[in-house]
Amino acid sequence: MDTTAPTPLTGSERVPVVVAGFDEFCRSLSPRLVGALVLQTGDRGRAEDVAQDALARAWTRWDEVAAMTNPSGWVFTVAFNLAKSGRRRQGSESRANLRSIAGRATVGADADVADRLALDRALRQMPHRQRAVIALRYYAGFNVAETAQIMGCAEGTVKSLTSGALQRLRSLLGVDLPGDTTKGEAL
Amino acid sequence: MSDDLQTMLAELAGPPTVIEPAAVKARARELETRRRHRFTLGAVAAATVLVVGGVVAWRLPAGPDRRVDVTDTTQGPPATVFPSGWRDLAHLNSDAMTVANTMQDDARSLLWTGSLVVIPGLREALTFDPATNTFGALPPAPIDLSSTRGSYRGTLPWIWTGTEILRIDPTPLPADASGGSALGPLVGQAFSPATNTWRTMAPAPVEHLNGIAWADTQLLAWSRNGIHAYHPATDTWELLTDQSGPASDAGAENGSWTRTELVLVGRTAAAAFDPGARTWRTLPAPPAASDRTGTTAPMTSNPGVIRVQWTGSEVLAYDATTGTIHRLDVAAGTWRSSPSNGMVGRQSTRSALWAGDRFVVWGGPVYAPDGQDGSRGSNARDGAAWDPTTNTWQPIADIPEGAIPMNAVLAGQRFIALFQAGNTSTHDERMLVLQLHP
Repeated sequence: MDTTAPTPLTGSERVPVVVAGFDEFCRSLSPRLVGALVLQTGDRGRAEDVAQDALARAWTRWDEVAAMTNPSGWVFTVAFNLAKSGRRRQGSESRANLRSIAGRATVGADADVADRLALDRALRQMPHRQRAVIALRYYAGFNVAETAQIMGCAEGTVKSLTSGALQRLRSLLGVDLPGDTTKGEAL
Repeated sequence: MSDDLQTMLAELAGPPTVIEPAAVKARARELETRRRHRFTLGAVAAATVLVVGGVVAWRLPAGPDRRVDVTDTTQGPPATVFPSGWRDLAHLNSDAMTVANTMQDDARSLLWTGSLVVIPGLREALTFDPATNTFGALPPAPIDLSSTRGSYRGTLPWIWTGTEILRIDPTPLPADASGGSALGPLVGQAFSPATNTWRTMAPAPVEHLNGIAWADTQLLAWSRNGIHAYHPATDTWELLTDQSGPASDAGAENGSWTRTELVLVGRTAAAAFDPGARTWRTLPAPPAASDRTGTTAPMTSNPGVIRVQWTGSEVLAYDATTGTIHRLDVAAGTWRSSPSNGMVGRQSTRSALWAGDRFVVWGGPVYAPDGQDGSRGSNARDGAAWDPTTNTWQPIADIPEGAIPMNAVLAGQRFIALFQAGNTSTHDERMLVLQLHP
């Protein structure tokens, strides 16, 4: 298995809107989908299950999904809703979120483990919607409009959540983080 | 510490996992098989229920029925865009509603616990699970307040602390010299979902209650006699200040916690209380604040400010008399106002809610133009949602004909409203749960 961490997407590298077939779509989207869900749920096994279920739903209606303007956004929407529903069924947000993911991250043995632990703790202390905007915007590479569509809220809310999440991360990590430059969009 | 957030997130997310299409397709087939299996089981179960239910109904004598009965449910995908229209989620029959005694003032507040919507009752409360669209019930509370509770006009008699549901009610005092009723010491009860048990809270030395709010770790209760804090961990009450503040005598029944201060908004004054420093800060009165008249009448044509809400960046005070949202910049201490939604002076206190990114106002009784007698003509069905980013109101779909809005709650990303339908005078009521959806 490739143990290299994926490079964050830039605006021009987003999952292409036009998709040739489901197999290609699945293979290209799943690493980023699983990664975003790992950040959101804090549980790799659950993230993989949710990603597989979301992709399965896409497969059962592939003709319809492939014709959408943003098929990957649709799958992310389904996946994040499934993750949320699963969390609700568990009856406690904290149970899901309290599972540490930093200890299982095997990538970059020479990287600053303390940094990852700190970030992991910081993410786990954030409300799930703030965690979602961080995962969707700074990991999965979606812009404000796409993130708003996935989260089912207004773009202004995404900007507000992003601002709050970055401020919270700065506060929790005690460092200066880069501004919202992922897409060159203003908060 | 690396300053590259994206790289840090990528490392934290771990190695890339490619899900093979073959596995996805196998999973899709498995899900489809399960769905068909559930459908078959459901059909068999429904047929069994019909047969058994018919036999039981035939054999049992008629009498009070305390079942929580869902007569119709429909399940759909979670809401993704707001606002658009209404979707009927579930019906609750009148027997179950009578059990919960959710009518009138008790349904003033719905409570979202993170997994369930709680529909308050005087002693028993119903629950609604939006994940399954099913109703349930909490065990009866230890104190039955049906004959002892005082008349309380605040908006939040129930509080979710993250681990417990707190139920706070004032007890009545003898009528004062003016003939009005006064509110005596609070009765508090707490329910723990983890243990499915109630506990009676320590007696509260709070009289003349104006309102309560949850402030991260403590409950704040403001009254004519100052501000008290309740600490759930130690089950103790603490007097934070005996100064009632500049807003307390100005009809400040509504307030909101801003993470650092308790902001109260009254008819002619506003103020912020810092529980850490135990100090008050005077804020300017909201512009053109409306006088809230009436005492125990739930609504008049001049309801005034009926909802105060911290949004994370500003405090909103919805003035139902003018259909205007007054916006307070807490740091600068300055107000500005939205345009009016045109729904002047007729909105129910139960149908105005901050929905995460919009303020939604809908329905409500229509009063006579002179208005002061509280007489109700009909119920409006229209509504509007205010967007703070554009400072504009957008119409929302009409509520169902004949439905009377009781209250609503933001349940995760879903906006769930509780309605009463049917003839209240003959107790032929039904409760609807509806959700705004794309």
